[in-house]
Amino acid sequence: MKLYAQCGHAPADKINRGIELGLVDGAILSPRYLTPDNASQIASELKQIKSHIDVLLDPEFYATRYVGTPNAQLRYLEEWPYFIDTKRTDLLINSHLVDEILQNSFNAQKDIGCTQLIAPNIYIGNSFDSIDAAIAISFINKAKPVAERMQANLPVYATVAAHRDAIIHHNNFISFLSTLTALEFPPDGIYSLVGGGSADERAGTVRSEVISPDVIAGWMLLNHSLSLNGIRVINGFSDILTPFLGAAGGYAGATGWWSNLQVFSMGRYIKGPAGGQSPLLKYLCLKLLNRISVNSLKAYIELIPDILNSLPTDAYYNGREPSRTEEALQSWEAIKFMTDNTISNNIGESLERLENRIVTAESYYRRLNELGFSEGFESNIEYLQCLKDSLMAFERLAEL
Amino acid sequence: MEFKPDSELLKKALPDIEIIRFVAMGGYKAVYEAIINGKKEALKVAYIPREDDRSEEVPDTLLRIKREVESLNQCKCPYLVRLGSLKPQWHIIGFHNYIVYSEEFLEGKSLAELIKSGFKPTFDQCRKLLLCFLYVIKELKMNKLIHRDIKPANVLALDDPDRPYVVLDLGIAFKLDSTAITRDPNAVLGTLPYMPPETFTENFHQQIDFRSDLYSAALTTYEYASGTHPFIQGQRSDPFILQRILKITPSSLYSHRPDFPGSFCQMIDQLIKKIPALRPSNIDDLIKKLEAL
Repeated sequence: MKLYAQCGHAPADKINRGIELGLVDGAILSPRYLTPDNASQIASELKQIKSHIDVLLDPEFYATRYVGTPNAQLRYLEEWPYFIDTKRTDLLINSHLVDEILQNSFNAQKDIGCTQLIAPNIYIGNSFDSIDAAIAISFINKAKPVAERMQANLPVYATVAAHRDAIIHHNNFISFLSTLTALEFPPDGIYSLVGGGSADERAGTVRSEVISPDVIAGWMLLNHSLSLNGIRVINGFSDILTPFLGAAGGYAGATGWWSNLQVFSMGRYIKGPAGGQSPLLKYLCLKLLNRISVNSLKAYIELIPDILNSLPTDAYYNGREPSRTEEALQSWEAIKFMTDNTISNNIGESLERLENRIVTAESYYRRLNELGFSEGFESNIEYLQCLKDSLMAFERLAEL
Repeated sequence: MEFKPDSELLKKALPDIEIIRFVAMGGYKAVYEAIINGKKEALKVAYIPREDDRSEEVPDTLLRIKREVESLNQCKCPYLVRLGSLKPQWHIIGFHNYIVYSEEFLEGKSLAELIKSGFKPTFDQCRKLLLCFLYVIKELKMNKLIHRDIKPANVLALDDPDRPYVVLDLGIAFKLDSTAITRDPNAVLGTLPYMPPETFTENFHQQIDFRSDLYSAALTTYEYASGTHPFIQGQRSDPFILQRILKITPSSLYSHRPDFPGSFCQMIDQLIKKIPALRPSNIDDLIKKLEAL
């Protein structure tokens, strides 16, 4: 399974270093933070580091719903030629309009030198039994034919961006999957985003609304069902769920350096309250399946030295605070390692390995609790139970 | 079938056809072995119920035969039965209306007969059976048709390396993008133990597609290979079977046939999943994988 850098604000040298060290297989650029010229320059720089890496651009067309909203934070998005606010009714009845948006977006991605194309799409809010879902299917079904007509000669990934509430209504979601897997013109793959936001924008994946058995199982089902049908799935903002999605058949996952690049949320396009502290530096601890602060890491190592991942990037945390770049590299290395060591060709085996990791994490939390680190113990155990329940829910949904 | 025609009256109505023997009877058709235009063919005699004289509606059976004949004309797959030389003709035999036409006569046993006799097929026979099904379903899909009645009784095993298995009876085939024939929108057609779960959902016409045929084909292969039907299990009551179709995950084919390659058994197991989206739907890919086994 591949891992991509999910790009956002202040990339500095994070992506370059990640590629140099072989921790990520490419990058998903964000037009929100890049003008077309800048995107083109970054794509070219990344390909100079390694010629065979994947450079993709998420068109973020789903954010057009906020065009004209007073508190919208769209930044450079409105400089991209395809990013034009369009009425839902027009998208529903005017198929030429959908073609035009696809074509403009593909042209922009080709111009900057993307190695794969991500088709734009709208966001499916509360239900897959909706006008939004019908429009989304239209974008997905047209993506490949439009790219072929343009002679793009690049793999095409259609976007499925949905809110977690739509996923948990399994009947409608499964019906949508049935449509998706029997399209007349299937794309080469799907770029999948599951939106949920987090209780606190700085809280990260573990405390987000996406961490729910029905949501994770549904996301895994999407990966499983599409992979059975020869359609690759790139999971955006999948972070620590990457190995779970890979076990179900996913082709790639992605994560970034800020918490808003580790969980997808439409809230990121709306201005939140100003100010606040800079987020704490974290260490992605595979033994705990969680990110912990540098101070916690120091304290835990004293009593349980094997809590470290025993990976090369651990050195960044040895007796000092890592830089933001080093923090990102550690995170990618941990996810890549866990993914590579979890996924096998046998789905049953992969799921069993994941379950073992969760059980191990529980035992580490219990040890820490016994040693007096009781803060957050209940919620961490609850989170791990949720991951366990997700595996069971997935097995049930996938009829395994 | 109601009102099977009297054989003497039938012979009298069809003087140019030499009827050799009665072969079988289905829902609305009787089949005879006959010599038609100097060649052995399967003579099909379908009973057309008399409609209310004031009704302007064409009987369902007539429309079904029309669709079956049109479909067989469209499809050129060698693993699908071919039409014979006798085009559909209307006859009044006794006091009843019939449509008479012919298909090629195939010498062979149905899979239902073979399963009943305790025949244990080899892996290669099962592989070829699934391949034949896939070619048939691919052809039907191209013509926007769903067979809807793939089952052991509708498949003949022939002693012909070019056509090891032939699928029969498009009598209840469903044409996508076309007007439904059955007037009752809630009527579900098919043979219960082989019907996929999606046919029992609300608005099932919206739910079914070629993957419904893939399911029935894989289930038929499963039964042929293992000698057991996962949803019948000695019980024949409809509610019991329906409950099992909707709720029970069949044991893997591999548990019945550990002598078969695991990848083949996995393919069958996956094709009989209850959710259509979990059934592999790329037929060319499935054919490629099977041919490589």
